[in-house]
Amino acid sequence: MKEPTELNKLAERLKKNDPQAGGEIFDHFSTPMYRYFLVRTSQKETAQDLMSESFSRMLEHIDQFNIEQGNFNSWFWRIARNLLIDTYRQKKPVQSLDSMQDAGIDIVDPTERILPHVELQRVLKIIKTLPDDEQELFNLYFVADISYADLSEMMDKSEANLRVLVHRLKKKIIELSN
Amino acid sequence: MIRNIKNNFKFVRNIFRLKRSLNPDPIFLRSARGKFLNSLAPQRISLRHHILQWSHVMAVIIIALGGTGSLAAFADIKDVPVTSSLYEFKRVSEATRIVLIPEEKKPDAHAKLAARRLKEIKQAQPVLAVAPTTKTISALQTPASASAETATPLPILKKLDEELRHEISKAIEQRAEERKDINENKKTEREKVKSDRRIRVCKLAAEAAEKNLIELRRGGALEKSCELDF
Repeated sequence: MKEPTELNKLAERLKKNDPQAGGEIFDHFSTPMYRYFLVRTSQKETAQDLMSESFSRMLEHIDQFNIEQGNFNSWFWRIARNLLIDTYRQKKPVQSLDSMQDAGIDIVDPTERILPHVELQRVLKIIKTLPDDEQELFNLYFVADISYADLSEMMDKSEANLRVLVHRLKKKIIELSN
Repeated sequence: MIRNIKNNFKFVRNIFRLKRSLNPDPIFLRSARGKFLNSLAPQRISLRHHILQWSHVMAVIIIALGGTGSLAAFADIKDVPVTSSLYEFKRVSEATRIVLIPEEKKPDAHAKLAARRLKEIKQAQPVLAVAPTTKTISALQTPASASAETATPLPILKKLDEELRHEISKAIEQRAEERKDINENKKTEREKVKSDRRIRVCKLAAEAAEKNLIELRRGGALEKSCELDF
């Protein structure tokens, strides 16, 4: 796990076209970002595309990144979240599962496709039943491992407020699991 | 209490297992990393780095050309002697000037260069005859003939003499060509005048013939002959 100041320095080096810095940034962000997209989309291919696209966008706009306006971690995650929102907006309306089953198409639960264990599938199904803002908080804090400081910058909420929200969310998930 | 701890432990374990299960495929990750670094290289390296690199090359070329040009111009204006280290620059400047000037001015330019060569021979003769130093000789010699001509200044004078002859013959050739052109122009002019004269005579003859014909019809005598005199 890299410190925010270290990531800012890497971003400055990336601005100066340092491939080593680019590699380190990729290694730091790729896995949590992929996990975040996978939980949100429940499709491996879409998650892979979104992850690659996030890095391309980051590279496109790296010159606009300014340390004085915030740290690189939250700046890059904002790009990823905006990309996901754009993708959802562009998506065509899908058919309902019932209508597809009526048409004789074999439907597999998306959580079963991405998770082999039944217990984990159950946890993920519980998460999917939560309101959208709670799902987002769960993904960012528990799945993508984003710190309270960065979440505070990304979600425009104080760190203390976020700690309370995460505690409540955790309690809620445990209750729903039992 | 124990139940709470147990539930918390279960939650943490599930989150840990969930994250591990959601990790990306290493093959995909390696390929995506390669693509990302490749996209980084051409876009960002080529634009800044190449412009910088080319600007350095261009600066070096401009400085080199400017320096050579200045030295050549200086040597030409000063009319440096054959013993000077700038002599080759002078010759470069002269050669360039000969190529660039218009055709009608070339004979004069060759004549001037011939005069320069003659002057150089005169300047070089006493110096080389008295003290043919290595420095002086090397300044005069071309690299190809350097090894053969280090012992005596005679070949250098010979070379200058040859160049002088060359310049003179060039000047003479140019003059001859000019004269030829002028003669050809004069010839063309003469032919034009002669042709006009023929036309005029033909007209007069035709008029005379017509007049005679009229007179004959009237029964009079012939006034003029209809011969055409060219």
